[in-house]
Amino acid sequence: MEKVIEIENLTKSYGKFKAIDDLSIYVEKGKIFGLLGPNGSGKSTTINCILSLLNFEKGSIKIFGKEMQPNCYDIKSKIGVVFQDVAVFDELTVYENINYFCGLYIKNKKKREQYVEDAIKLTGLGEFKKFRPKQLSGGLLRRLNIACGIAHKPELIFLDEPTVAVDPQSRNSILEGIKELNKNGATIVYTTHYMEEVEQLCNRIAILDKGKVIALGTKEALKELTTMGEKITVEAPNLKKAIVSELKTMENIIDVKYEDATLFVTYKKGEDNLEKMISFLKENNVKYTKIFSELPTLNDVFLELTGKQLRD
Amino acid sequence: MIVFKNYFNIVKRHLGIIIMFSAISIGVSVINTSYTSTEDYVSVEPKIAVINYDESSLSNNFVDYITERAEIVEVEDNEKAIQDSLYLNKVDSILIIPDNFGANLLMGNEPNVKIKKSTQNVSEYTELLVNRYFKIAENYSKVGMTENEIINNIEKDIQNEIEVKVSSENQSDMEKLAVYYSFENYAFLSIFTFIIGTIMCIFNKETIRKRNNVSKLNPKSFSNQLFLGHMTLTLSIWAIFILISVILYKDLMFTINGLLLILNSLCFAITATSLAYLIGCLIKNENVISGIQNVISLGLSFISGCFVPIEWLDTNIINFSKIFPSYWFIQGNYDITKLSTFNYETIQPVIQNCGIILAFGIIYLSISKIIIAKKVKN
Repeated sequence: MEKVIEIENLTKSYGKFKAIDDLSIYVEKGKIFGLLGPNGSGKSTTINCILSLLNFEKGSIKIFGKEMQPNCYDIKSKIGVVFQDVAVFDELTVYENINYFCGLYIKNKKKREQYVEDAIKLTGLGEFKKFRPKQLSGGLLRRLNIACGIAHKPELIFLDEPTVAVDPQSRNSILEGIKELNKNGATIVYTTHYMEEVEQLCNRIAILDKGKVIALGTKEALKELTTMGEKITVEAPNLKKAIVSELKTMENIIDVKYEDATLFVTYKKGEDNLEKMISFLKENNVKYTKIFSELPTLNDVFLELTGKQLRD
Repeated sequence: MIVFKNYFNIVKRHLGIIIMFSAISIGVSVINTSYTSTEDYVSVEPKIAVINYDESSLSNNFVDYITERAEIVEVEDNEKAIQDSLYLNKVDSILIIPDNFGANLLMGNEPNVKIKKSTQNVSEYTELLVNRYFKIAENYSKVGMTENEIINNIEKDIQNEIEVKVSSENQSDMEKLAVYYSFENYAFLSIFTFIIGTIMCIFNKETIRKRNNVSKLNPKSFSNQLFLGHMTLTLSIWAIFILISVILYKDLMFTINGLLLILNSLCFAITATSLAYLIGCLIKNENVISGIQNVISLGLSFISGCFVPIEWLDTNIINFSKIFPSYWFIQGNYDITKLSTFNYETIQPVIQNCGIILAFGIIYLSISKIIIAKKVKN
């Protein structure tokens, strides 16, 4: 598979603080690559280094097989970027904003007009063409931000936390739009600290912490990294302490917690964990109102690898 | 040219304030001009006593010349009477013409006229009168004219001088024009700093700059398009100021003085744009624009003679103001309106002045380019 981005041993420091520490990753053509990590893990710094917005001390960055430099305008012409902070002109309308940012890449007026219309359609801003940014809601503003970044139909798109502070409806619309872009052939680098988005969108994921890649692979491969098999939750009021203690001594169990009349049991990998749990509850005459099992998430992987939550 | 086009989309949103700002400036400028009085002096004839030891035709002609321009007072020809009349201000000055006055003048020598002056300022005028006569006489004696020829020519010259004064009735309008054009110093600096500062802040917003930097647009092309936008806008405002001056002073504006004023003003408009661009490169916060705008426009206007005549200012202030284009622009305006003959020698200083103004513009623009290059590198 053709590699669109190749990063080797990238190191970037701010004084004594290492923001990126010997980072090596690659992104394949036509895929959605996720950079997952808590705030301050080095996601945005990595993006800024890739885009030559920041200098770095060590390492190399190749895009489309060429070493990336600030004056590589041929590479830049194939890239679209949607930054975390909304970057639009308050004085211009939705249409004028998209037209300006698209115009930085596309000189032909007719072609540009078509591209702007396509971007408006993709982001669902058709009704708001003549609106100014200040007249838009937070979600619509984010969509405008995306439209400005992708209107010129780039081959490689960087989306840096595009759904921060967005309502669920707009978030779904944005995620659908990203899938559409990928379907049309764009390679996407997606940074976020929302694991659900990464799970929903990305083919390959790098989990970052303190500037280092602590895990890299497909979501399935990453989940294999955890010793946890599943998490069983039982809603059982008035559970005796002795039963909780007995559960802890059972085989294949990692952790048991009983809080707010709910029992949380974390199991190691095993095929009949739920069956065993139900049998145990029956044997001990425990009355429960609900029981369900959850497979491990990327957050669980992160928790196990670092000892902290993704959103910490 | 997408940045250039976008520039005017942004300007469109600020058009109201730009028009209001320009209209107020033009209005104040016109009002300021209408209140400019060019007749704020009282003509005073000095009181002069003449003691003539020479009875030549030239000395008599000289006495006639003085009599026409001063109030002649009789004073006895002795030292005590002379001292008393000066001390008691009966006369402002006393001219003592030696007996070889005519002969000396004919030979082109110094005529050695003694001038005794009182402490009154008006006595300085006597010296001016005397020197003017001697200069004319000297020019004719040097080419070997006879006494009568010299007298005839002096009378003709003096007559011509009077005719010139009569024909320059529009001199007061010229001075008003100089005031109108000099007020452009305040207007341009104020309007340009505000507009350019505001637009630069919009384009230099961190988020927008980042997006421009990752695009395929070369930063050089970006800043050039932005500067072109500034220049187009400021020259449009400049053209409005010129148009108003043409409407108000139609007759004067189609003279060489008028054209030179336009040239001087164009040079200043370009330099003011460069200065505003430099300020725009340095400003990071939109809120400080009005403060900087006032400091620059009012400060430079006060020290360069836009609001008060430069003669009223301290020498140190005048020397300081020479390091700014405003001084050269305002002085240029007054120098241009005083011009009555036009040849290489009289126009050359005006052109030189324009060159100095443009040199300031080039310096400001070069500093801006260095700042931009440094920002891009960072």
